[in-house]
Amino acid sequence: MILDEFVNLFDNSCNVEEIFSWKERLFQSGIVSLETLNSFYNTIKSQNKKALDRSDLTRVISTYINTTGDACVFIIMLLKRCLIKDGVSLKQIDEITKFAYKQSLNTKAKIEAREEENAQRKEERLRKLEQGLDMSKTSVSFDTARFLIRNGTSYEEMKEKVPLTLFSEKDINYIISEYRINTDEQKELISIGNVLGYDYEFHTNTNDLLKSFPSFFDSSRNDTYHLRALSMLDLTIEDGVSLLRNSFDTEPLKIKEASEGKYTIGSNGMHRFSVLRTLYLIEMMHAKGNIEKEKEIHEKYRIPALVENIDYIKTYSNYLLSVLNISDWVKKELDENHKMTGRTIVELKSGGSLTLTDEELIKYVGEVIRREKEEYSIDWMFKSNDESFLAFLSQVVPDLMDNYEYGGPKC
Amino acid sequence: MLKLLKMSEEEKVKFNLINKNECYILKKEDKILGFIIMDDLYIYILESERYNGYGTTLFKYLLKKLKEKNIKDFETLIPINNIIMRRIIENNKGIEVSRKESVVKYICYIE
Repeated sequence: MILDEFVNLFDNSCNVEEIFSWKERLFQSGIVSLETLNSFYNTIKSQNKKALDRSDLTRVISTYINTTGDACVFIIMLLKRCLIKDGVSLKQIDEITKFAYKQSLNTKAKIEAREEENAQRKEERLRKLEQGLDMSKTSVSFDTARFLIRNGTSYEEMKEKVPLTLFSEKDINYIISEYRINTDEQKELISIGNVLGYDYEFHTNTNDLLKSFPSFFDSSRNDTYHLRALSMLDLTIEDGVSLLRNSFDTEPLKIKEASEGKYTIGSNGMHRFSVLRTLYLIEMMHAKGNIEKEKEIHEKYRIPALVENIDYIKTYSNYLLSVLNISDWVKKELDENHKMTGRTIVELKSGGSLTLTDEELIKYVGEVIRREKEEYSIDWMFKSNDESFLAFLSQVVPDLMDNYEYGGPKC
Repeated sequence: MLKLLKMSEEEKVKFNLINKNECYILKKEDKILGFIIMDDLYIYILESERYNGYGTTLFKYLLKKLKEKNIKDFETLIPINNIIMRRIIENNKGIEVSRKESVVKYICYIE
């Protein structure tokens, strides 16, 4: 069982890199929530040790329970396995576990009391700030300004210090946005830091993240879309990610890869994206260029989402067959479960269609390019500075790539 | 309460749909919210009634009507910037299978 395998790592001293390499696996196993896992790993990191053995692990578990008040099933099972390996009797394990539960309840009570006090102080501070809020001096809506004040900043400060520009798929990669063919949707962990925008042309004529807020949050409108998520504007950098945690499972954000490592929001999650991206940028602003801190923030905002990645072979085949006027449509074939078979259907302008594997598709596109080359100039293809497109061309017409270098034919 | 009714001739004239065979109108009490044109598999929500989820309601009615005709799936083309319709389709088992020149092709499954 995965938990046993994890505990076995600590039989001898285990280096921190290996311990961290297990994080994804533990998450995928479903035995622990992402929030607990992140918090637990932060506790491991706070030990500042290069390697940990089982006594260190037991100490981490104890520290974790004492600081967070969390004695969930994963933590208790981990603790029990460590104690069994240490040869502790069942009776003692039972007592230790009971003590751990009691300790977690005490810690939780203290945390709640502290949070209550902080919340009251914050509300008071916010009320004072709102009384002094002068809408003539800000360029964003009242709802947005209020949200920023709650988080100790303003539009003017953020505009100066962090990038507020939203990018659409078209901004990131025009060819992919126009001709993309996606892989099947799958659950992945993506950092909000890598989600750069959405198809904003529809929502607003601004590409400014904060000025686009009224497209999603507007207390002056009376439709459900603009009102339903107003409470999200009460979120802060302290609690934003954790309070939205459940929603990532019940109603995952839908994200599309726009090019390698860059994503845009798809059909679901625009409200949450807007808020989380803002909170992320506020935290980045506070990091003031500290690389370690920035990495931590990037990880903090790594959330589960349903992701459609780009199938580069099918996408660029679609593009080339379309611009070379060969195809009416190039589309992915789906099976009876609505999943990709891996094959591509090419509906030809001349009539009929072909169903091709990726290998066959690459060969077919290569033949088309070589044939078209006889009649038309295709230099423009090789002048692209898009690495993924050039990588595709290298697969399709490796022989022709030798005749071209960036900027045109070789002299 | 929402009602989907067969469009009357008068309503067809009002919306300039007199040459369409099968049209349904969505109403809340007596207020018109939108309509479906089955001939073209087209749904429309009045501008004043948008952002309230009625587009999703109409789309589900459309799927229901197609199921009654034993249709299991269909392809549809949606302009890339019609984010509302794309969202409705993607959240109701529609799958994007291709794109070309600012148009997205979906297969919509009816279950």
